[in-house]
Amino acid sequence: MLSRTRFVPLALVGAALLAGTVHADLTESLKKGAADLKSAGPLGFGPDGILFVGDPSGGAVFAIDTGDRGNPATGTLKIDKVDELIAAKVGATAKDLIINDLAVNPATGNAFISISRGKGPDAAPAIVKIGHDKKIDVLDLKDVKFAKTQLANAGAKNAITCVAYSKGKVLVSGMGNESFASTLRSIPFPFTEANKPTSVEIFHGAHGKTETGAPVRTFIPFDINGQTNILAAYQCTPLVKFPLSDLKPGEKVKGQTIAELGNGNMPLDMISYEKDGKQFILIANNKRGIMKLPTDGIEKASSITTPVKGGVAAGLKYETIKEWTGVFQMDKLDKEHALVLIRTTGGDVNLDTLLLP
Amino acid sequence: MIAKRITHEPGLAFSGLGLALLIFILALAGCAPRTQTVSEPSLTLRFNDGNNAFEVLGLDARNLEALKNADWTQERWTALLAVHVGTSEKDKPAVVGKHRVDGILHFDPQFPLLKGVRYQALFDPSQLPFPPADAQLAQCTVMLPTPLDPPLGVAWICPTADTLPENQMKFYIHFWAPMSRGDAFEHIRLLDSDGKRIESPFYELAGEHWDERQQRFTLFLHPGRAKPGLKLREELGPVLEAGKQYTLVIDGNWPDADGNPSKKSFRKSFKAGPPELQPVDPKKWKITAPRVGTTDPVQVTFEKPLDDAHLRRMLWIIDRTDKRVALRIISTFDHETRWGYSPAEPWMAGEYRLVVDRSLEDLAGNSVGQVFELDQFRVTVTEQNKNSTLLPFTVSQR
Repeated sequence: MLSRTRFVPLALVGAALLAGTVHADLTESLKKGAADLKSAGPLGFGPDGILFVGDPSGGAVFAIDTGDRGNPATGTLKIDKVDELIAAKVGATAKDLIINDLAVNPATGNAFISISRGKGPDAAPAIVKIGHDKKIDVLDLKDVKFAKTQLANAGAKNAITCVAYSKGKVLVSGMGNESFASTLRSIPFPFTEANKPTSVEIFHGAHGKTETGAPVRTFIPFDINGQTNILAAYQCTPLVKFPLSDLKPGEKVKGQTIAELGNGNMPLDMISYEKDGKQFILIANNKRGIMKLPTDGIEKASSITTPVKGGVAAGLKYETIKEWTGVFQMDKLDKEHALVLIRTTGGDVNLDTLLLP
Repeated sequence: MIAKRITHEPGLAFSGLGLALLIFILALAGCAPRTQTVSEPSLTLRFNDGNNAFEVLGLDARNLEALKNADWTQERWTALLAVHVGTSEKDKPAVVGKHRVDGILHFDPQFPLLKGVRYQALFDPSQLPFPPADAQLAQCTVMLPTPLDPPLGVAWICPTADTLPENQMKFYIHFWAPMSRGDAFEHIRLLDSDGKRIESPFYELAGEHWDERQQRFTLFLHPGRAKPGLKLREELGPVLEAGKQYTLVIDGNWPDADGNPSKKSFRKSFKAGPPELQPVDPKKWKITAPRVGTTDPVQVTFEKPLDDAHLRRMLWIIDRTDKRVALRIISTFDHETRWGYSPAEPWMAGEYRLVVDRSLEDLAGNSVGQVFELDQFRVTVTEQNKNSTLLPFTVSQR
């Protein structure tokens, strides 16, 4: 989904080089076979071309060796009506296609898009790769190196809202389809029997006197003073941070609300980047342009502890980048660009490269 | 050698354009042919829907052998035999799949053909390892039929009551048949008493909340408008307000899983009542035990309406050995205020217990011993850590 993993492999490689060793290839933990995805939802890249795929229908997360290695491609990528081209490739029309997520392999700059091919209960999951040569390939999930971890399921189906990889852990947010409770799972990778997921309930405070469980819509791992934090955007629409180290089995996590995004800002996707020595995050939303928030001083950002009154935005201030209207999926392509999926007013979906604002 | 004579396959629509053959086959419901064919006596391009494969029959042994051993790129295979959605537009990629030779040439699309979508296969004999001198293109168009009967649309909506708390959390929309996903929120709207559409009333998760068969859609009202102190609520106010009348409308353009809309809209009108702010309290429930030797349901009457989906998986019965009593059917009655559990085998005399999963919620998200809006970090209830509550009852001769 996001470029949240971009610096992780680089950091690993850097650390390995400094130590005079090369880090183990994580694809060695994967086994060849048929990856039995029931659906292909949220995506997040890890090291060594490993793509983590949330499978909401199957209640699982897959680690798939995309085999996508090499040097980062340079240049931009732009394909109009990419939905029609993907649909043609999988033998469908654009109206039979649901685009679920976009992720860029930070090692190569190639784009990966998870789709549902068909809209009924028997819709087939697929993941397509789009290279800088604009060639569209469908990953052969029946013959691929992969690993799978089943998420604990209380009986009802669960939606998976976001997947990310950070420092040896796969982070998965979700919610049930029969209750409003939110879960965030931290799953050590490589997946093993011993590496059971940690599942915690997330609460965001600052609703006056009360606090409720609420689903995380999208999130990114984000380093603050060397400590990994989760920046989570909620549907209803606070932006919340909490340290990753707070994710302990059986404990409830209380996030610190650092911004309120307000009406019309239903968050869809989020990336972080650096420009002119400063850190920013971008949040795509369903109605307005992209929201851009500077994160300088985020470690000191005071928590919003009183109810918001009169619709006044509280906490970190954001600006709206109106030129990015229609963006519903994005990932960081390189230091200066984001790769985005834009739904046009005519209903087409374009893949485009935009300069980070 | 490809013969120039064209033959008909009985019962199939047919037209010839020189040797460039075009057959457009609309296989109607109930009379879909197993094979749909464009043929010459020695060369046939067809779709075999039993195998979900396009096939070329009649290739000579020399070509078959060469194809079997060919180490071709995908592009090379596609030049010989390709399938496209719609027409064979060169600017759109061919359908992904695998070519193989097994007595005949096959193309197996990676995904099964969709109903109602037109596909065009194109076979170019000039691309064969040993092309015939008079090679001509062959085309075959296939469209699998969609059901002729329109779908029935919405069956019912839970909760079924006409008055709902103003902090109502969700609706379950049940359909008669599997539906399509992806555009659900284009087909649902909430109207006020003047018929005016209410702005942003729903929690619109892109992945949508469906059951496995896509016959039940969970519609969450927007949480940001339910919680006091959130900016969204300050800007737009709550979705529902006590004393006011509302109508939930599901339009008839929502396509079913085959892409067909029912053309029948469904409306559920209800009045908002006071907020529900109490936890679910099993101590207030009344259990009516069944008679021994029957498969009558044990019936439980609740203190208020509970979540219909939760009632079907968060309550069950165990016997004195803690073994789960095999279920025949669960029923809910009286607007989800009563519940019945009918066993697969007749009740034996003795003690049983009703197991209550403490996640069981009412209509507003309050669960057993816990209200939805609560300071989670100050509550110190010893039962908080328990997953279930047990309520005993006795089955006896009466």
